[in-house]
Amino acid sequence: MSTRRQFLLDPANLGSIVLAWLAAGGSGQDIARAAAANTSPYAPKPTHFAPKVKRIIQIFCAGGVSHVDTFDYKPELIRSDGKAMTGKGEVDTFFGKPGNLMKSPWAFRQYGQSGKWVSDLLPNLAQRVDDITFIHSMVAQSSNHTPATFQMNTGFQRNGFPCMGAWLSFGLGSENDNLPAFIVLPDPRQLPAGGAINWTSGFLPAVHQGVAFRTKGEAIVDLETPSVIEPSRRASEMEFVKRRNEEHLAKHPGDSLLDARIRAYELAARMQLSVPEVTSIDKEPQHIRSLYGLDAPVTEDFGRNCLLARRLLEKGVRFVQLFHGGAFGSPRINWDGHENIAENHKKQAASLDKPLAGLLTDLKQRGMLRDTLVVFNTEFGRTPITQGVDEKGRDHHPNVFTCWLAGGGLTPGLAYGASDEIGWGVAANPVTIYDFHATILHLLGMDHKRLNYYHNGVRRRLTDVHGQVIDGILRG
Amino acid sequence: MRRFTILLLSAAAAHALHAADGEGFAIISRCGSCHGGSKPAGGLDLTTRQAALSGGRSGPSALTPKDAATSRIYQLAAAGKMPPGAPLSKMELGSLKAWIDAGAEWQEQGAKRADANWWSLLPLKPPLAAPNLDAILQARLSSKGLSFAPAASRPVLLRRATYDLHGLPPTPEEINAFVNDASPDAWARAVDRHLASPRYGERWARHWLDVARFCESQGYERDKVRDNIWPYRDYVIRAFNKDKPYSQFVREQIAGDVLQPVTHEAIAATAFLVAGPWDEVGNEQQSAIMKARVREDEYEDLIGTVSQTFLGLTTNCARCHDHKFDPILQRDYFGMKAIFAGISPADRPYEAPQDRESRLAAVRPHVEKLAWFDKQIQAFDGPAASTDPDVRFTFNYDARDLGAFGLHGQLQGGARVENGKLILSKGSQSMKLPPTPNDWRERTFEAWVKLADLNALGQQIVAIANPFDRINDGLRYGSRRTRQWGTSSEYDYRTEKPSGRDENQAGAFVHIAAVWSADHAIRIYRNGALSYTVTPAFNSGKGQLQSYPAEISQITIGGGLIGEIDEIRLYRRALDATEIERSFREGPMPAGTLAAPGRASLIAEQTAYRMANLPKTFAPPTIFTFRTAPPPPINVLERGDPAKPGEPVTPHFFSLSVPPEASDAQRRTALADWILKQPIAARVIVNRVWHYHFGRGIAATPNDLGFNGEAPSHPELIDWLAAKFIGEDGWSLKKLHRRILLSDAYRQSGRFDPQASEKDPENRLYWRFPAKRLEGEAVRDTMLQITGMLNPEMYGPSFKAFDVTVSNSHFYNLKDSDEAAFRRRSLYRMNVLSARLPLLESLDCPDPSMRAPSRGVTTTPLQALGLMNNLFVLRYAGHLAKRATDDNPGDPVRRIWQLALGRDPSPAEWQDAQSLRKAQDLTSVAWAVFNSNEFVYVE
Repeated sequence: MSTRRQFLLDPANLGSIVLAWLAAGGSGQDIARAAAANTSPYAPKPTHFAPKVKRIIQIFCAGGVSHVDTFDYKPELIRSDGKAMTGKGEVDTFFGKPGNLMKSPWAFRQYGQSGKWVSDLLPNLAQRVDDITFIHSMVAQSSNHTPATFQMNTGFQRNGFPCMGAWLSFGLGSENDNLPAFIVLPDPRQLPAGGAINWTSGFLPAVHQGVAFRTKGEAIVDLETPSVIEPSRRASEMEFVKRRNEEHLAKHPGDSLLDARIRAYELAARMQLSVPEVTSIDKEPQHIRSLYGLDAPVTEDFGRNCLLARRLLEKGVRFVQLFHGGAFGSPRINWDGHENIAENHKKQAASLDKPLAGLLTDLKQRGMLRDTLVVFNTEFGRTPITQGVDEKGRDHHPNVFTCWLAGGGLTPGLAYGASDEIGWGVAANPVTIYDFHATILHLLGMDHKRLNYYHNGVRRRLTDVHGQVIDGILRG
Repeated sequence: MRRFTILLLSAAAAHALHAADGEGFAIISRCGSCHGGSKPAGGLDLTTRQAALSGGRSGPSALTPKDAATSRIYQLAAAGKMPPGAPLSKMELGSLKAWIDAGAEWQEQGAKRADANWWSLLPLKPPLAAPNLDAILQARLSSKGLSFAPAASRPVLLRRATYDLHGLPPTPEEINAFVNDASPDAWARAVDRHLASPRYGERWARHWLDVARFCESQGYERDKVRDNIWPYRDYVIRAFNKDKPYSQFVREQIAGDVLQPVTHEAIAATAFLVAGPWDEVGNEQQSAIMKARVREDEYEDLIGTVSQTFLGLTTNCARCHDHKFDPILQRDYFGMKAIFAGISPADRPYEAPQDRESRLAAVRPHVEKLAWFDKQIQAFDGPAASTDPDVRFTFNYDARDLGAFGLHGQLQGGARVENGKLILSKGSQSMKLPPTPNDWRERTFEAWVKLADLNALGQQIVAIANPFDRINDGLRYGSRRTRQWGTSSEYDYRTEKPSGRDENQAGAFVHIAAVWSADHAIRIYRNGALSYTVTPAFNSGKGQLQSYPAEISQITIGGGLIGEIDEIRLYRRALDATEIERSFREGPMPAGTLAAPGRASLIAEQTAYRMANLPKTFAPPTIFTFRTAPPPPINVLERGDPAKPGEPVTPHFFSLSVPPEASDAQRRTALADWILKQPIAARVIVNRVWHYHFGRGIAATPNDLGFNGEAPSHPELIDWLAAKFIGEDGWSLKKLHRRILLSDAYRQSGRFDPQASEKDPENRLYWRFPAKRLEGEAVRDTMLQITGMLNPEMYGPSFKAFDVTVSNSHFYNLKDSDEAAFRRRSLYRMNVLSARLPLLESLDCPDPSMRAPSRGVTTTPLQALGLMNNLFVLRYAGHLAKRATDDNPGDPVRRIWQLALGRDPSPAEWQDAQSLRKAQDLTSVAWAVFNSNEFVYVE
């Protein structure tokens, strides 16, 4: 080990280097790389067993993506178009106005070696089916947006439970302590209903809270030194603080908090450098920008988030969550196609399809798909019947719907589980959200029963007291 | 003889191996995540001993008790093949071997739980001989050869106590006075002075609000502002400041609305039961079963909160099954649910019955006088409509009602009355009426309307709403379809697709009427003729005719309509076709024909009278608590699921049993009384108070003194404190604080002792005073205080540090300023779930929706960034520099140290700060102090 490296690795030297460097205005990449001080709140932690993937990106579609109009091909629904649905027991939909069966407005075609049927709604994603593992037998417990969203993201239907990203930050830490372990990229059109409620760390320590990147101005609140403060001024202030803190530490031995705070200021300084670096996607070459749809207005915003997500993952961020869709006002900025499924889903798919397909392509061509997990999920599906007689929309449908995964440890091109002939109920291999979560944790090397945290009497888990890994989708 | 020897040996071996044994079982129990469930890997189920012994597909020899070497489990583990990808360490292998060789016994769950003899449930056993709490702590310390640290210096002690009791630092003057107070009871007087300050109630209310999961927004999809629950916050502040006996504090929060005599304050106390998130959309949805599940989750929150807060028991864990660790049966959970079965969350008028009586009595003569004016004025207004409406607006002079009620409309958003018409030129314009004085059920809404835009949707003509139950019904143009007259209702529950003739009459008045009748049908008439009838097809009560109670329901004219209204007639009955036709033929009152001298002056006189004598609205204030009803029967629910009702339960909990015929009031009162008789109730509160003073409870899990909670370091101290608290101290929290603060344990310094640390690394025996980091609120409040900017205004509505935009959900755009309201203590900042302040959040202010009996203390780069760059911090660094210069122009650096850190700077610090000041300015120095460890660290 060279002397320089030893010097860099000594935590005692780090702060002054970063600060000196800040004042000098150079590039801090090598310093950042050397900064593996294990006092970081994001320090990586061992997995329970060998992981299949190291990082995860979740695309959550607000509003409820219709399974029968996207990935779940139902010829019987075409044949029964306009007929009353029979033999499905008590029909108890969210708005309580069951109509008749309605075929998808889009034709379905087969794609790839797997011959997977996908609707014309998502022509670009359709090209990626051989990389995707579909689950057609998802079952949600709530037909109400927010509890369903909460459950998909936290395992519970109530406010205040930690998100999957918070759990993974808590359980695994991060490969890069210059960036938060759990980053959220909300839909640039609108925040999801409840805003920051959706990336809470709940009862887990605050450090595991999702950090939402903003699309305008500084990416993280309070990240940048305000422009009125000269860099040299800030540097001398920081050095002064460091001197005071070290004197104070010397007088107060035996309290790790004090040392941790000194380190936190060093991490903060490094984060000030690494965040703008990772978010400056303008450096990406044109063909990559086109791949994500950055050259067309309709795909530009979500494409930017997809590309940013890839850059964050490359830097070692553990969990990136993308929202596609906002709250439930009018006009709808989400997949909540109550009034007219054709209009609504067409509009939403237009901004999602190309960027998301681009992300999969890009991850694959970089070899990242091998050890990355891409999760595509939503609140629930939509009814194969219309909402109201002679209407064109579909109501919420938790009974069965489709989610998909792509990446390491999975059997690609697989369609697991099945809905019944019209997409009303589960026909084979039901998968609960607990199972879904247990499987995600499993792929990341975590036993969902052992990843737990004591809170008010209960060792809480992402999977509550349920969940079984879906063996049928794992590779080999 | 031989047998005897073996027994002896194995007993010794078992003892020696006990630890390793447990480890071995812990390892095997992890294998169950693959080797378990419905399809165990390799057909081998390792979740029970019996299953493990029968082996898997590879044969029966998976596990041979007392013979690790031939057990395949051990062989594979030793070969590094199992668990796959994560081979066991040498030590773990050793433990596994030891466990198999010792007989491979599965440890029974049953042995690992609390029963009725659990420490916290037993009667108090205080060490009666102990003269004070120090004696108890010292006894334990000296048994380890340890002792208290020397006493803290006076400035350190005062800073510690002021933060503990006020959440603020002492002023330099207070420190000086205390340092120079030579009297023997200087400390006791300082403590008493602090307890007497109103700042004490503010500080401790914040702690209580953490426990009470106090939310000022409803969370879930809409996260609407809940701006009528602050009276609960004020109740808590007052309770602490008045030193309300804790017993009363408990009773009021469970049953304050029914304790006699009912007081205003005690009603506010009950908001405790419902202060968490509330799913408005979930409560409105159509599916009865989904709705029932939402309600069931509300109960889990309520039962969990009551039980953890007052009893330190996690009863909520017994919703789906008997508690796994504590002696709480699923029946007990539903027994407690039965106690609260009569309440459901809602806004309620916030006034005690006697207040209501006096409010109405005071208003009555004035209302009569106003009615007299109305009669006089109406004499000018011409003939009454023959159909005799309850509410009638002709707009011939102004926005006053010629009907029976005399409701006076308020024009909103630029709506105006001109030429005998109500002119609405934008969708945002409307006319609001005060709450209606009578109930509405069957009803007829009639209007003469001129549309400016035939194609626009959602043009509301007139609607009635009950904001508390969130229901509404109205007459609307463009209802669900363009060019159609129809009705409106929340979520279209009672709104069907209209099937009238498309409207094509632009620029002329149309007479339109909607009739809601008792058969749940809604009839739409156009120009006196029936257009169509609908019967809402909903499969639940929401499709039926709704009632609108007096005093809280409100009528609005317009709101979406772009055009003019000539006349509005509203009836509290369903008119028949003949009457509608007659009304149409009669037509609206002609405009401008009845102007008469004297009318205007009468109106002016009446207006003046109203302004002088009456409040703006007759509606009572509200608070978010609940409404009550006779409690329905309650059943145990299998797996806690309302779709699976099991056997009925009576209201009960542990030894408490309430007769099934008991009223809601009797049930809740009985529970409160029962709780206060439980020794655990006193244990919980003294431990909670200790937690906030020492940064950690005697039992470190203040909401859980059950099996899963952390074992107390000094159970005897908890019992001693509890016995004093409910005995001679008469449930006085201030006396409890006093006992703690006057102790040597509290007054010792935080001096680090490496030897003591060796013996007791976590300082659970209190060989020094544990340092604490300031909470987020205390950091912000300190900046306000030491700059002299703090606005000490107490109580009342919270300040809203955000702008709200609504798009179904409420979105909060944070804002900050130095205006007076924003300079109030953080306690008064509206605690909205999705509008948390990043600076406070990064300093571990908890998610309001979670019960937070203790706060985390994390140290993160985001926290550092907040203190570095947040504009609030930068501004207040400037304010501190200014204040220090004003106070001590000759040596402002010294003053900054005194104000912010409670001490003088050392010569070296002073020199260094002077250089920074010289190179930059004094604000730089203030900023640096805000960012220093010492600033956020309380010894």
